[in-house]
Amino acid sequence: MIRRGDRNVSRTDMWNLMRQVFVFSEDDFKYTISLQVRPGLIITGSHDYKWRVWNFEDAQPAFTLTGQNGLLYSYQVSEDRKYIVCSGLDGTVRVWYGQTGAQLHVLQGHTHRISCMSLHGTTLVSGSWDQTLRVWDIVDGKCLHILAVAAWVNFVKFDGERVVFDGQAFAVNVWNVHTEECLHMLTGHTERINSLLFEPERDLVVSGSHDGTIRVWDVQRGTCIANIVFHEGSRLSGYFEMQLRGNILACYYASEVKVWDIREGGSCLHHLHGVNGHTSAITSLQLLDSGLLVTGSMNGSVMLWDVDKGIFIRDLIPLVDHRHYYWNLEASETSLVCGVRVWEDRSGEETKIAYRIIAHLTPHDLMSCAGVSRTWQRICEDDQTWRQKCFENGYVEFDAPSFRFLGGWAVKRANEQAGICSHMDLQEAHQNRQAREIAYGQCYERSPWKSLYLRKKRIISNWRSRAIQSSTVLDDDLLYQVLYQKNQSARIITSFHDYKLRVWNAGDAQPAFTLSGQRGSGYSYQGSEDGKYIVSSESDGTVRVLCGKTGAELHFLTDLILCMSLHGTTLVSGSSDLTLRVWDIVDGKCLHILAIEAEAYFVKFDGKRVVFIGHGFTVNVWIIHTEECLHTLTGHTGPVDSLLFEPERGLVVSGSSDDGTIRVWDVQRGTCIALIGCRHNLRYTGNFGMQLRGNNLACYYASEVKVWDIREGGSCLHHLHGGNGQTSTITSLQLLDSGLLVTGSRNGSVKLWDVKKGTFVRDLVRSRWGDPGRYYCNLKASETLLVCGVRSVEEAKLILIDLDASYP
Amino acid sequence: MADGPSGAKKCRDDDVLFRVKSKEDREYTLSKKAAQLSGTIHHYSENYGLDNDEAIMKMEPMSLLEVSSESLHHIIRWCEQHRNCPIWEEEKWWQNERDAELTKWEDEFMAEMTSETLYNLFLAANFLDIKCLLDKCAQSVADMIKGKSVDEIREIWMLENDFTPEEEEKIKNENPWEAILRYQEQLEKEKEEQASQPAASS
Repeated sequence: MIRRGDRNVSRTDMWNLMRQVFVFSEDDFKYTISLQVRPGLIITGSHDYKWRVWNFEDAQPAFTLTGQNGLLYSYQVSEDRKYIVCSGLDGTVRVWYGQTGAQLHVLQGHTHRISCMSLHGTTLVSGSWDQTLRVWDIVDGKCLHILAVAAWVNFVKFDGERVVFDGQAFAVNVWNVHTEECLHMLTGHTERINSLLFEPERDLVVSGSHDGTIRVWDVQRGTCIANIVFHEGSRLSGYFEMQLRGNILACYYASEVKVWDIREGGSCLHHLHGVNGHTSAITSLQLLDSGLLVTGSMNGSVMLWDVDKGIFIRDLIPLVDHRHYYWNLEASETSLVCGVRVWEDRSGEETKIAYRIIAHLTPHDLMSCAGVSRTWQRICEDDQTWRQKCFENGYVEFDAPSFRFLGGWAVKRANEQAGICSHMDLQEAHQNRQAREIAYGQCYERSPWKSLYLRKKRIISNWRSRAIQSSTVLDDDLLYQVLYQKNQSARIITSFHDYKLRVWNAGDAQPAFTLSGQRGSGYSYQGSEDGKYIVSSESDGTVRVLCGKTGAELHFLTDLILCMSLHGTTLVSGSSDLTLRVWDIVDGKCLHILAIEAEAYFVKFDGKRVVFIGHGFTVNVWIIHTEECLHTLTGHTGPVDSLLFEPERGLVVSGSSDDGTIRVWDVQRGTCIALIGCRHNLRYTGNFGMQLRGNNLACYYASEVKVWDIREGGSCLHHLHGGNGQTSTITSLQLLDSGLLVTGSRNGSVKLWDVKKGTFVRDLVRSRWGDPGRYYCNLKASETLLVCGVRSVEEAKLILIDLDASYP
Repeated sequence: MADGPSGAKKCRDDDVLFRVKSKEDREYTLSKKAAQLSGTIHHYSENYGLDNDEAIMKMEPMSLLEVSSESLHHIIRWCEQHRNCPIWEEEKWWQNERDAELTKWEDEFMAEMTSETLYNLFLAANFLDIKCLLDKCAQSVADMIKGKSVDEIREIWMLENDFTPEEEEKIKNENPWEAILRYQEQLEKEKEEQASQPAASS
């Protein structure tokens, strides 16, 4: 009989193969009940951690046992079929009513996986890797005894009083569960026990071990009555199983079956193999009272043997086709039940193959293939494949599609006058708008990742080549920040020379609110990521904390503030009294004051570490909460005028126009990993700014942009200037995830570059020659929105360009 | 059967040999290292104690009832050629690197295959769970698809168009994206060609 409960740990793979095999449980405890006399149950365990119970008679599913977490490991059915007991790798035993499948108890207590169980009447013994055996009453769900056995038990057999298991030092242990005492420790095996049988009526125990021997024990006297060697001089390292009926012991190993008589020391009766035997490994066997033996093998054949004569009788199931590959069987005197695992269905295998093929196709080929037929569409729109394509390109999920066509976008469209290059004409823009009204198309329903890939490609092409679909002009002056709030539209913070701070909704290009009461012009603004707070630092050295929704003033922090950095709701400010202050902006309290040696003009904060430029042009890294200095990084010989901090990778980039270098620091180790000399022996005198994205560092100075790879000391990738370059001084730049770079320059033009290839892509906003009034462009960009502030003598305005696309 | 590309590795006489049997009951042998490339054989040998040379020498041939003699012949050639390769990273299959010489051998190997033998080889590689061969087969088939139109694919694989006209219309509506992708892929290809040309001339 195949005992599912008794799988050895080292054969997990084998177990995996067997998980879908149907097994009759009728006679799982004793080896005597006929399937015919007592209609049985079939219990199957499957990958979804559910046991399914089937009626044998009509082969219909009876019920499903759910609740197990982890691999299903073993089950037992009580003799009267009243209870089913199951265990899994989750360390619990579950007791169910055998008629209805209702759960009766969950027996908890084992602290490791339960490897074996044995049920007698309503008393269950469970063995576990926590080195204990537990004895349970399954009717009232109580644990009766706990036996500490000091071994990882893999096999346990129980007859209501005695329990037999594989114990320490490869010994077969016999204990009395009621008195909790050890009756016998049967030693002899020199390797792990792999199979264990117990026949209480005759006090016989049979144990098979990897040492190549099978021993028969008399557990009454505690003696070994037979020591059977399977193969002279070789161990059994693989999988084997045995069965005892009367005095006949049958055991299979690989493709051989041997039969012994256990009396008189165990003489080998027959060796069943050869011409008619299995050519493939045997996986199960069943001895019948009538002197017959049924064997099933891995290649799917089932054979019948005569154990008395030791001859092959016939094929019960010949090879049907080559799709079956693992058999498990149970037989009674009058019936044979075979479990088989079929090579799923063939189409499943072919689909698997198909996925391998499409992994090699380019997205464009995948698109074509999806149009071939329904099957191909299903395969070519496999979400995992597209997810892979997205990851290869660095496309991750981003904001929900916007719909920037209403409000200001509709009434104040930026025109040729504003300098927008190649705007869609009204009719095309209208069609485009209609298409965008469906934010999530049918492709998204079929394969979200494919849809994401296409959307991303569309956005890139919106940047690179397509006509501008939607734009608007806001009359305002200084552009400070484009704030993104999760699942909400972007906010834009601007300020005009009237000292009023304005917050705009990017979604409809309408002002959200205006903040007044400023004491002087604002220095800088920062918004919290959740959009709840805006902090504004003003020229009189104060900081105001404002509600991000309404603009109401929440707190007023007095400090002589030079710079600040917000993370979550914690603000770090550097002030002219030679301190760094840490504030909680929710309650407006100062948490820490750190004394520093010089005025800090740049500060960056990641919630834990603060990076600032300190005395002697050093880059300082401090831990805020302990107020200790981690590193003082020296190198710069002139004032630093740009500082970047990327906490995830622990990178700091500091640029000094005075000494003409940019340094990349590893703030974890406190080392300089790249020293980039922008201009040898030449000091910067003009505008200077930089940005880091991935390994690309872009930096502008005068009318040039350079791009470096910060790895390996910082090699210059590209020098963007020349023919199509900015001829005027660059005033701002923005790197995008998609490998694009946007630059804005003093003459009011906005240009797009490809940083991977180092080439000019196109003009987004054109400078208008002979218009001396224009003199400044400041820009901020997200992946889907470009905001540029253009200021001239007569006017100041913000141009917003929408580059978003919906999910197809 | 052809001997295959020149320089093909043969298993040496002193190797410990695995014995396998094809569907047609023909016996083949392959070296232990080559056999380990197959997940199925590896699994088998773990379960049947074929973990030492002695056991392998004594083994009964493993029946590979899914695999025809022809496919098995090709598979053994493949495995012997790849037996010293670094372990195939299935999780990140696109990161596996092969040296140029081996890639050349692989290409010649695949070039020999007719579509019928390729199909059988593919199924056999799948059954035997040889990841690197599976991947190469997949790539070869993908190469056959690349750049083909929907109608061409239908014709080559003799597939029926089972979309309704309405559905087909909807698929066509996704065409703007298709055009974009085609354009971008073309750009990348041109760039690659440009990059490879100076190298070739110098």
